[in-house]
Amino acid sequence: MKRKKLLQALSELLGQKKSKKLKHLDELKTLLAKLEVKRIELKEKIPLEKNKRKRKRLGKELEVIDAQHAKGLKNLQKLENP
Amino acid sequence: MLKKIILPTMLLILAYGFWVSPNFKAISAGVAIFLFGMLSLEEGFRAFTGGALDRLLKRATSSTAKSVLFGVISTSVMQSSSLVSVITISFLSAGLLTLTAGIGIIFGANLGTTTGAWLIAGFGLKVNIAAYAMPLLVFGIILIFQSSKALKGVGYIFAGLGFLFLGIHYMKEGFETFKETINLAEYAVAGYPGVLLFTAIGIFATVVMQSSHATLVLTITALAAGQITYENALALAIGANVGTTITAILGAMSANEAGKRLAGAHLVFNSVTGAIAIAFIYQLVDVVNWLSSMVGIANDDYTLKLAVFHTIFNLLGIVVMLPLLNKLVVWLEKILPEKKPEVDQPMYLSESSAEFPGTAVQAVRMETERVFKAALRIVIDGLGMNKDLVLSDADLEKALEAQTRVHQFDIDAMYERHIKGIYSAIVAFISRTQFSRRDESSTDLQLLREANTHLVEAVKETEQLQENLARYIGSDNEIMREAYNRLRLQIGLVVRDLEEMRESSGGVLDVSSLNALRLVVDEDRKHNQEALGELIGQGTVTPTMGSSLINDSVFAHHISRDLIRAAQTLFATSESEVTEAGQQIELDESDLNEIARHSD
Repeated sequence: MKRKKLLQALSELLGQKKSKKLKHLDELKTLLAKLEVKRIELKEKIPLEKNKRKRKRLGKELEVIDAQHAKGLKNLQKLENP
Repeated sequence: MLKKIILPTMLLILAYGFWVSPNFKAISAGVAIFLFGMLSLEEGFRAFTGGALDRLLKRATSSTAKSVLFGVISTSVMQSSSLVSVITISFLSAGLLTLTAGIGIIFGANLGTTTGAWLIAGFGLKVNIAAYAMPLLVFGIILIFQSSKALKGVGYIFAGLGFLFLGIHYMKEGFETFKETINLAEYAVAGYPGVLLFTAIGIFATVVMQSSHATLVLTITALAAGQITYENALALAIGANVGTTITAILGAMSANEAGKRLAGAHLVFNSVTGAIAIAFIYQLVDVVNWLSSMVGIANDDYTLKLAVFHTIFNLLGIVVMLPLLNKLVVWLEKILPEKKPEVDQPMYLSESSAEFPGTAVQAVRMETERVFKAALRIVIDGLGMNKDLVLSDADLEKALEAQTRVHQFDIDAMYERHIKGIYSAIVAFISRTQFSRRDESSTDLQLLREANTHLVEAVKETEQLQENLARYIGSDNEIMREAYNRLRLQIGLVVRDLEEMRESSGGVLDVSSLNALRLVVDEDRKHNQEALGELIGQGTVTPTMGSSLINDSVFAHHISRDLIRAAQTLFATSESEVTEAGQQIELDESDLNEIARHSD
């Protein structure tokens, strides 16, 4: 009886763990998608911006988004192929 | 308006006097040299303040009697009650002296100043004082040119004494020859009208010359030459005593309430003493005659008798006023109450807001926003920029280039007024609330405290930058003007960007936008360094200017970085705060440096 209960608790824990990991992966993928959208938006916005300084700032923001995307992607790969 | 008329009128009258009377010229030159000597003497003693003199002052004022004695001795040595008053006011303002001790010194200084009358009457008129003046001046001037502060101080004291002696000599000479052409004693006024009239003249002369000592010397030399009567000379001495309070009053105008109270005490003491001396002048004359005969002063030695009179009536003042000292202090504290400084106080940091973590963080956040606004304002004003212009779409570069001078806005005063009170309260509030909370709120509070520190640093760095900026923006050196304009333009644009980003996103900033702004700021700094390197390499700027620019470009960079950091804590939202996944896309310092390297 005790053994049965123990196995049940273990499987619950493993299931929970699995779902937590999946949840985390889903979140990361969503964030990467968001970054992708932002990147496209910025790429469209930059050439239209007349103010030189703002253009420069948006360019830097694009670099930041790219770096974030690269970092996120790297972490995603690590999570998917541990 | 009146001020503008007084000086030219006085100069014209003096010029006319010099033209018609060479003796008047000699006497006036004597007064001028004497006053210059006083200035030198003060300068000399000032060199020793902050050290031995200050330590002595602290030790010697532990009781009222000691304070009075200290006033007597220090004024006798320095021969300047004004200097003693000014030092006392500064000590009082700094809270190093009590008002009672300060008043004690002033009482003593009044008695100490009478030694001047003794020296002049007993020594200055009987000895060829000019013979001592010359060596003192030579030694003094040689020492003034030395680099050691102490030797310089001694030099000023020697030169000061030399000029004092020379001044007395000229006054004496002037009056001696004056009596051959005109007898001023004919204009003497007898009785009480004379006493009142000459007291008023004494007050006026002292107010104009800013020195009772000078009035007294003038009176004694005129008395010795028989140009004024003994009775009128006594009234002049009383007037000089009352008039001398003007120096303390002028000195206290810029002092705090404690300094003003001390000047008030000086005025009360000298006025009461003067009133007693006028009321009992004939009785005092009898006492002077009796005392003079006791100590062997000749009956017709009016100059020494004047010195006796001067000492007696000041001593009388102390005897009358000393028992009333505590009442005087209470009265002065009542009529000149401590003004509470107009300092911005926290609005949200209440005891109830400290009870819950959420409300505590919110309260500190709202206060920090106030500090942020004040800091932005100080940075903009401190660098001589117009707030509306910075926060508009206008061409800031052109507007700054057109500016030919920068008003040196008092950053320290604005910091004290608008930031310090709130900042201190925030720090105290966080220290009170953090100990029991080991949750997220505690981290938030720490971050907010750091944000405040960044803002305070931005203000302090602006202060560092301000002096050179004001100097070079107003200079003819186009290269330096351009370089400093570029520095403030970069800061102005950061402020504009921050406000613009906040406005366009409803008050919430995106971390990636702030990181982008940080990269722009870092790039600006790199460009500044490169441009500066070129300027120094080409020899377009001097090494001194170059080093100023290097330091100031660092300050400018720090100001921008500090403002961005504070904005990040205050207004930015980040995915990492919300989810664990967000932390995996968040860029740290090394990631940002990597981007900057790639951009090169």
